[in-house]
Amino acid sequence: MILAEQEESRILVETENLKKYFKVAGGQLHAVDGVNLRIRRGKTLGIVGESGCGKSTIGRTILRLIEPSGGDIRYEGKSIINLNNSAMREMRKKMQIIFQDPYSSINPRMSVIELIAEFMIVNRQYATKAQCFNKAAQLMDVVGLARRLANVYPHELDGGRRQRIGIARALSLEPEFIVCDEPVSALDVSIQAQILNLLMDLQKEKGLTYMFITHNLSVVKHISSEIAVMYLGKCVEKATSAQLFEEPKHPYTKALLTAIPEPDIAMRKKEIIVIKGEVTSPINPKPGCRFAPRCDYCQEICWREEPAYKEVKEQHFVACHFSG
Amino acid sequence: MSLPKPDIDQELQQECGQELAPEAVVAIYKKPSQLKEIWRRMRKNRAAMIGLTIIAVILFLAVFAEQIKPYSLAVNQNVKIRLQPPSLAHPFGTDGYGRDLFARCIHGARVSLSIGFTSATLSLVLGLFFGSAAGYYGGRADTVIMRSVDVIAAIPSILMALAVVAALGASPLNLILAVSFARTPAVIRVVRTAVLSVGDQEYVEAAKAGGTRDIRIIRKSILPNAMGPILVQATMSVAQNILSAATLSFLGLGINPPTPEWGAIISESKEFMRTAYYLMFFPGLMIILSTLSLNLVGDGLRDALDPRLKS
Repeated sequence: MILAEQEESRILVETENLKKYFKVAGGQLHAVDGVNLRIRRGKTLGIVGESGCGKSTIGRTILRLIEPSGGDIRYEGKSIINLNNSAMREMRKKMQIIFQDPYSSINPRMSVIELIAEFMIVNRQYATKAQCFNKAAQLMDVVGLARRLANVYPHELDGGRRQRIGIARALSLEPEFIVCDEPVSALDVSIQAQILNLLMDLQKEKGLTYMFITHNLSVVKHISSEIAVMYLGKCVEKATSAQLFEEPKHPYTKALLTAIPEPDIAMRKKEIIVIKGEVTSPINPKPGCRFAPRCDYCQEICWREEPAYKEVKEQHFVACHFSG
Repeated sequence: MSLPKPDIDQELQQECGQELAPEAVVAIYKKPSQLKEIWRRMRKNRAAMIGLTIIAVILFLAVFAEQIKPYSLAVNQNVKIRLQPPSLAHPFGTDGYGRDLFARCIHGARVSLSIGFTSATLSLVLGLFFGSAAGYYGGRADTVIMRSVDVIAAIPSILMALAVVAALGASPLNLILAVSFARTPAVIRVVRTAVLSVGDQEYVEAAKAGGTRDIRIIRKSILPNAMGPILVQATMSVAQNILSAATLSFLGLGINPPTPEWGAIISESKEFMRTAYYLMFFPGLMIILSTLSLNLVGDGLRDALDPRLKS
């Protein structure tokens, strides 16, 4: 009982049946459809899935940058779904986001130091602007930006440095939780590693909690303690990183894992599971399992009934009729 | 179980407090004056500098009009010297009442330019307010504002200005109101479109995620990046408003004679169009030169305000 309570208290962010539907011409686009996630303090939850599966939408919905259509989001056990604007502003000091595209996510009309100091200024984090700028300068050191770049405008910088601005900006309010929305997918491979290491160092140093959204499985394995696999707005499988790679249960996850490029030729498995067909439309989805049209193991029940999201092993959740 | 937060003040003290006062540290990060930077970039743009020179000359003539040619020369009739072609004594010639056309043009510059600038400013302020509200908030605000704009824009702008002047009476102030009111719908549309085009950029979302209030988001993130088309629209508004004011004066609804105003001067000269070309040519030239140079300056300013075009 006490153990369970401790376990509970360590959960920082939790979503319950989180939904986001967008109205589109053909009906309702189910971008996120009933997702339950739990993110433990100090850990990283990786979210993987292909383009359009709703992973970015989830990140933004948790921060309420997009208002959810249903379900609940809890931060430290307290629901944040009905907070008003000013309460939400307070909340956002604790929850930050790093964006995918370092080119469009920073304002080209502000210099580096202004960009980093901006959030501290608007939140009156320190008594004077001077202090905010001082702190911004320190943050430049933290994320590895040379101080001589303080007055430079972002267009003069490469993607890696721009992304460092984004990270410094996210850190400026001293958040506990950061949504990393594909923070490295727009960068060169060499820079990707630098940024990933920076993020991991920061996590160790400041005890940050990450929700790491990506479509790159190698990256997610590297950084995550837990991984959730999404398909068409649904979370189909969630397990600890090791467990998921060791023993994937869902047919979709299995196929994804065989698709990771293997650098060592001797280690290459012969068989790559190729998923047939295309992602079905997320607009007014049919009942039943979302993955059914593309699944090799599909049975009659899969078309009829939506599989429950159940725990098949400790900390290993799968939504498939035939898992386990 | 939350981690102990480092004491920021102490950290600050350690990092910079002892060696440098906070103000001094900020001074290091203070960029070179923004205005100086803009001016430096502007100077490299030849077209903008030509425009700036022309507009400076016209402004100089307008400001020192009284010293160059007294106002009496522009309004007092002297039929003995009527319809004289340009000469040293009368650089632009004289009109049908023997008034010095140069004097009328430079005194008219005062009237025309102030009408142009004030009404453009007024419509820009209104346009920025309603346009960014419509573009940023979207939804119902957008619908209400834009449908009202459609209604106003459906009335021909001259007719609209006529109605305003007819309702309020002919005076310079009412002329300004009429002209800017007729111009505002176009400005609102341009502002809205510009705001929409940057509104879905990720840095706007980032600003929101950082807890920035809407007003500051519009002021800091959206408008600076949407400034290009708005500035062009604003400078064109000045030009357009000078023309609208001239049109209204031409129709006898703006500036009353004998007050010189470019449009009014042209209107008076229409009887002599065939024999005395200069009566129409010079005030027309003033209008063309001022509107052209304003557009050049506007274009240059748009480029100079963009830090990306620094080199």
